[in-house]
Amino acid sequence: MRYKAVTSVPKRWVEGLATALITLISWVALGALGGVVAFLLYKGAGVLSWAFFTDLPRRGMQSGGIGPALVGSIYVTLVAIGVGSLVATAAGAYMSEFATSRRIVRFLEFLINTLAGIPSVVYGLFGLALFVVALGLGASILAGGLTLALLSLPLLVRNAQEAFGAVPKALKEASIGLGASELQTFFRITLPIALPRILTGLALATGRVLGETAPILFTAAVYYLPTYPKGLLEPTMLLPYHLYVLVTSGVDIRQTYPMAFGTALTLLGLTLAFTGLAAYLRFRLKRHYRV
Amino acid sequence: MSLIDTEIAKLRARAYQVVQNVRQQLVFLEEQVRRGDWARLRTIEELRAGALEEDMRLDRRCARILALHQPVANDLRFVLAVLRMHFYLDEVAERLVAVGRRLAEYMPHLPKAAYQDIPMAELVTRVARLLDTCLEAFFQSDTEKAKQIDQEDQEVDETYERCVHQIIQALTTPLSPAEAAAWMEMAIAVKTLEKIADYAIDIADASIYYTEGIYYWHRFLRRERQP
Amino acid sequence: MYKLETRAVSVWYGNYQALKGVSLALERNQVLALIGPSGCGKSTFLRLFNRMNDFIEGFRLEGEVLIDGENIYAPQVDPVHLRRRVGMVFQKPTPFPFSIYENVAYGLRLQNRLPESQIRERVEHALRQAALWEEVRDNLKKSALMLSGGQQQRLCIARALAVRPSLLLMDEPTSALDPISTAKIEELIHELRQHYTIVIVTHNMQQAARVSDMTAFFYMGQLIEYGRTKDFFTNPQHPETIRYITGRFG
Repeated sequence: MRYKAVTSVPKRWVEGLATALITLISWVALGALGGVVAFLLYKGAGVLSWAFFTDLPRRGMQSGGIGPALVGSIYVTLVAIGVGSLVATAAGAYMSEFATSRRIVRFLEFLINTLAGIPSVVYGLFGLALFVVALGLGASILAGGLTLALLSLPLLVRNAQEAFGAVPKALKEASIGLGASELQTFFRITLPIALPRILTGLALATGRVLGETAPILFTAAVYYLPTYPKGLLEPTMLLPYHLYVLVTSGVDIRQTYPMAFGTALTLLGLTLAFTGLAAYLRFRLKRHYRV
Repeated sequence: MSLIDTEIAKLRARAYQVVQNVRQQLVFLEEQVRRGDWARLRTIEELRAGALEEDMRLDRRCARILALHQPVANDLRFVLAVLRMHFYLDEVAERLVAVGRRLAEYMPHLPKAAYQDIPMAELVTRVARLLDTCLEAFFQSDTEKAKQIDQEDQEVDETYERCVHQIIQALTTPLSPAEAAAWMEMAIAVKTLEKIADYAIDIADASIYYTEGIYYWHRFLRRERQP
Repeated sequence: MYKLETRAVSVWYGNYQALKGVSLALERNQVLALIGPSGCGKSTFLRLFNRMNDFIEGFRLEGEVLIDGENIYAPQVDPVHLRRRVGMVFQKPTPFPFSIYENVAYGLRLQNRLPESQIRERVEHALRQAALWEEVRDNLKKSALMLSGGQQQRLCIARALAVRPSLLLMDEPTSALDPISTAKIEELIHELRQHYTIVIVTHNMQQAARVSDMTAFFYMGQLIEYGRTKDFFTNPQHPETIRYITGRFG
């Protein structure tokens, strides 16, 4: 209130206009997002049913469901996030808590930033060369999952490092001062306090991994399989690739369109669910973490 | 109890101890004067010497509280009042020794019959009572008592006047040089006792200062009243 | 034997010398206050006694630091063990985001497994010693973060006391607290003196005067003057000390 009193009239007028513009633009952006969701719902909601999620694709993918692709995606994501979270948490902990040299940490940060900038298709190629061919895993859930784990590592490591770094130093010192070893301090203080933030990062990464297409193209995905995946070393159908197939290479593309929209809607729903989970965790974090 | 409370309580206890030492001197003087035991009166110096250590400790404790605890408001006034009281008590104690010494030295030169009518013992008693009242007022923070000591003060003055009057009368009779000197010394002793009463009143004033925060220049005002 | 003793202790951080040949000794059950301007080395000196400086890059020490006559920088001394014998309270209250009970029990759970009944006993005892028990006895399960700043600091004191140290280090324990909480902590320090030896760093000279038995004045890494607090504040010897404690510094 005090500030308004000293602001001259024309400035206030400009301010009002600017505020209105910003509001308008953000509503347009939100409207576009809402439009996408509405469009997908309009086109794809019709095919959604329990059977759609569980059934095999039938009649040249013109009917039936996306069961194998959905399950395949879940498997691959579980592998990716499972491996990625462990490696990233360890790496983040090392960089934030245990590394004794600042120089090493800076070098690692540089590497991670570089990794984050690499296009995802390059990860796919790398996964093909390393996991599929060199390690002999073949195109499989494991190879795809590991490739996606690699892809998500920069994000996850960064997130974990920041999460550990955000734990107040005073708390760690207090713990050390009470006679805790560094490892005890990490497991009893630093990790529990950083956990909500780490989980938030994991949820965001999960959403992203689910939707990635390029890295799994060469490492895990197949065009069509009439069965559910049976093991980690089996190739599988996957949602993003399945969508691509439905849209570009069906026998009769017009007939597969409803299925494509249903698949897209499913993917969007999953991604939004994980983003929502992240938002919820962040909310919880804000309420409980007040040190 | 807060730290400053503890410190103030300790200071109060120490001040009380110093007061007791001075009162002991006064009681001793009173007793010997009443009995006419002048030889014994000389030992009043030992009483005083024995109390010096506690005297210094009171000073040090005041300095310590001021330096270490930075008292303010009523706490500050109490410490300042104790310092004032301590100064007056010191004067009282010194004068008691002086009186004792004089009387012990010169009274044996006079025949008992010559001075037995002089109300010197009464004067000492009245001074002692006045000092007690003032100290009570101080330690009980009783400002009413402190303000109403005029009555006792006047009694001291009256007794003092009577003593002086009789001593002057005695001086008008034919006396040997030693006797004349003894009477003169007695006059000085009596005057000193009266002075002690003034210090007692100063102590009462100090108590008013620390309880009410006003400078109550009782003695000064009274002097104004009776030029 | 002295509770604490340093013999010609010098400390370097890289090329910077933080302490220059400090020798000092403290009797058991005394409160030692360390005063001096910022950067004078008093915090470094305090943190010698639980080896918290070990974590600082480039830390190097010369001389001897003894607790109960034992050199705590001897190679066979495990700093983790040492810290269990030396409690520390920091500038800002640092309660862990656990319950009040778990905060106090934290140090106990790090050590040999105690039965829960014994832990409960020690938690209560520590909270009583820290004059916090009456305020929290019905809320032990509540989050420590719900306490007020002053209560949090007393909780941290209780947490440090629970592991039964014989020496308590306090690094400006009241600088983040209001005057009433400060007075409570000061009273507490006064009482704790009966069972503990306490070293306290404070920016507040009056606080040093109020709570300590001994005072040490540091300036530019040197121990300028060390003596009984009552003498220190009534009759300081060194001109630098006089200028500092009379507020005529710089």
